[in-house]
Amino acid sequence: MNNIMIGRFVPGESLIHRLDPRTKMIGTFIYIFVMLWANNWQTYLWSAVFVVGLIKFTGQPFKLYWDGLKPIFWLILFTVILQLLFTPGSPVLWHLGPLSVTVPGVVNAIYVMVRFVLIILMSTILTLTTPPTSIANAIESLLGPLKKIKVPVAELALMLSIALRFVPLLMDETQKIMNAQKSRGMSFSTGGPIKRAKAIIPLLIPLFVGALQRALDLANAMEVRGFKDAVQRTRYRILHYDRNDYIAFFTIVFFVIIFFGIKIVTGF
Amino acid sequence: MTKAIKINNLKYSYDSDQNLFDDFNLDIETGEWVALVGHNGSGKSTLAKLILGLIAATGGTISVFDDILSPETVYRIREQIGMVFQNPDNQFVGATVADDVAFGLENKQVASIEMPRLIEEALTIVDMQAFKDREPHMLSGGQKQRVALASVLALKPKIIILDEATAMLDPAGRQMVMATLTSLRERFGKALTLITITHDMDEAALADRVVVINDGQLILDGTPHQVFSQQTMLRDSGLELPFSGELASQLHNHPEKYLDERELIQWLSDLSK
Amino acid sequence: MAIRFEQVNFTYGAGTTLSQDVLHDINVNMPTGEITAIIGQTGSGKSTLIQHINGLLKPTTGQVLIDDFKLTSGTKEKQLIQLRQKVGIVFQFPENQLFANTVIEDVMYGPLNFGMTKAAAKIAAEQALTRIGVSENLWSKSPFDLSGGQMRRVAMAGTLASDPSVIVLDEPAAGLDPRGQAELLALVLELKKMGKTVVFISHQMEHVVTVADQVIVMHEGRIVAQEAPKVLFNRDLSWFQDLMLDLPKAGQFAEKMKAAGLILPRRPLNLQDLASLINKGAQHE
Repeated sequence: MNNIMIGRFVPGESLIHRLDPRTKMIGTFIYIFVMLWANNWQTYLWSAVFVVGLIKFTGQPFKLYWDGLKPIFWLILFTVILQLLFTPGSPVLWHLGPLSVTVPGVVNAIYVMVRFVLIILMSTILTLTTPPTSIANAIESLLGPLKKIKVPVAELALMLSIALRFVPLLMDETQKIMNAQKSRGMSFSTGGPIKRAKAIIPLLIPLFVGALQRALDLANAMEVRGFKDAVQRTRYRILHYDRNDYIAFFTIVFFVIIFFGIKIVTGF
Repeated sequence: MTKAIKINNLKYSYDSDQNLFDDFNLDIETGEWVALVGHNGSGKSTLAKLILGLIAATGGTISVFDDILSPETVYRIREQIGMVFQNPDNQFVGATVADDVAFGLENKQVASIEMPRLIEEALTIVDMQAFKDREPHMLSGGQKQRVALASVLALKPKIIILDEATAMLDPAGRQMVMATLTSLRERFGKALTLITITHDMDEAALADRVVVINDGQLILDGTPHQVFSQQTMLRDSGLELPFSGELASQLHNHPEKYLDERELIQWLSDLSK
Repeated sequence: MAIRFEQVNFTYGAGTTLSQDVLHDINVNMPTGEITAIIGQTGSGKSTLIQHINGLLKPTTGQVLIDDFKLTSGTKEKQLIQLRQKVGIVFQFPENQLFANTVIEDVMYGPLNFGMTKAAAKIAAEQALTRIGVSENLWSKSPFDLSGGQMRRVAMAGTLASDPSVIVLDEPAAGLDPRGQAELLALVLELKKMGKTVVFISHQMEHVVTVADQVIVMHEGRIVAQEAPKVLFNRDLSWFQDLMLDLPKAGQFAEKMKAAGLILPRRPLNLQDLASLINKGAQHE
């Protein structure tokens, strides 16, 4: 019904699925941070090989990842065109007024595109193999030190996990209300900008009212089951690192070492 | 014997000019299965919220196992009562079935190491253990309501209130939930007080006692046989009889009082001999 | 000539990894001026089917003919507005779609969208509200201040107000108490009397028996039966069990009587029917 692949979790039993969510989050950050230092085809190639290898390990078809890239296709295209047209240098391949396509421009454009694709692929690996609540748990755990400076980490994490839990429900609801109003002749495609903006009210108000009702119901359900506050609670899911996580950390370190090795050999 | 729930002179109003409950009284014995019935808007769901202290009464007292409901006792009282609400989606807190059952245990500060066993146990009672790792949107309405029951059962309450828990389900889901309730009854016997709030008379017929509420007034109270024999009173409150009662009322030669389906068939059988 | 599905197939998210076949080779007729009930288990494709009647969904292959309107995969979004004027759909729990400041404004929303003037829309809204039994003192109230039952009526008036010739109802009685259900069935019959074509989805076989002229049975995205209730509910008990469908309560009761050795000459459709059969004297085996 919806083709949005970003942030979608696909259950599985792969090695990567079973990793501690903190491992996956830290790993993803390290990868993205390091990969931004890539500056020649050798380092990009190594970064790409590494991601493709990880994708293999998730046990999910490449097509799923490809679907994940589709929604941001236009963003990538836009950035690539900017790079293509506004990078100075020589030799110039084509020019029109202030716009020119140069050889460094073409090279840059390709690099930017690869960088974009790799970041998206790596994040997709994280979200595809990790249930949203695990991500919330990981954030809570990783932000744990902030409790010392009175940041309500437990509350924020609970809110985040409940919000994530309701996302599919609200998407469903949006679809239903949209169908109902379309059946009553709603149309987004006619009239000027003000009229179009107004057309969204019949969609937004029922959505808000519905979400509010759900929130009230949920609050009742939570209270009845003894919820007082988010701090004085035990946890069913306890995060712990095991052997696989150490292997994963080692793998990331391996990536980093080879990456900078290549950089040094190819002369920065 | 201690009353599970004792409601004395309860007063409640939505707004200042109209009282929903005015001197309402009701006692529920320990271990009873009581069906609270009434048409939509009769006040039956409001009563459940009052008992749990989710809304505050304007007068009168509610006591649960001799504990009078007040801001000081509300948490203690909620520990005794589990509640399943109408909308299956809006009470599912966890991201998976197991996480949802865990939610109440986490609040109760049960040790993490104890939880898997308790969760397994509760899910087994409602026959949902195979769905432990499923996400809510993968479940049918009836399954979600059974998970909601498991979440409540894991906390080992003495009273369970089901507030129109089957109203949004399809017939299959409704049957599923009713079958689960019947099995709870067999399993726990007098150790569990069950209150089902409904307008479906075939559901109400399963209870030990039926209490009919109309506009905040208790108008009928008795065994299903007693209550369903008061056909006119029920019709006037916008309710109908269970199927067997409606049928009996249309027979030329009909039994004197309400009979349930099995009894009516037996009666017809005896008649034809 | 009414509504006709011709070899309709429908796939959700066609072409993506998530694609899912929902409807298979649907060929079905919903005659003008009649009441057609659609039954089937949850997930059998009922809701998907009805969304094809006003073009919320378009067939992946095949076509739907609604009077002289032809809906295919190629139908343009712009053309759909005239179809939606002709076909009103009331979805499940329609009270969730209310949005306006007052009841009357909410009901006027449809007529205004379909090009009526404000004055004409107001008259249409008032007529619809009156017909559906929403009393005048509520018209200028906020719809959110009404009771659940009243909200549902307002939502239904919102569809009736644009005077569609086809009215589709998706489980209109869900969550209503017995009195509300009886009123709803009376309304459905009144719509028929007004000459409307009515299509409704229901899980309650009593409702189907009470109002439907014909029943469409769906199972796993296919049509497995299309016939009059009288014919349908006389099928073998095993057929219903295989499809996990219920008989009307009267039929269920007759089956239980049969199991106890009390045989009726035929399977009754409803309570009155059952009572009169018993009154005539059940035959003991």
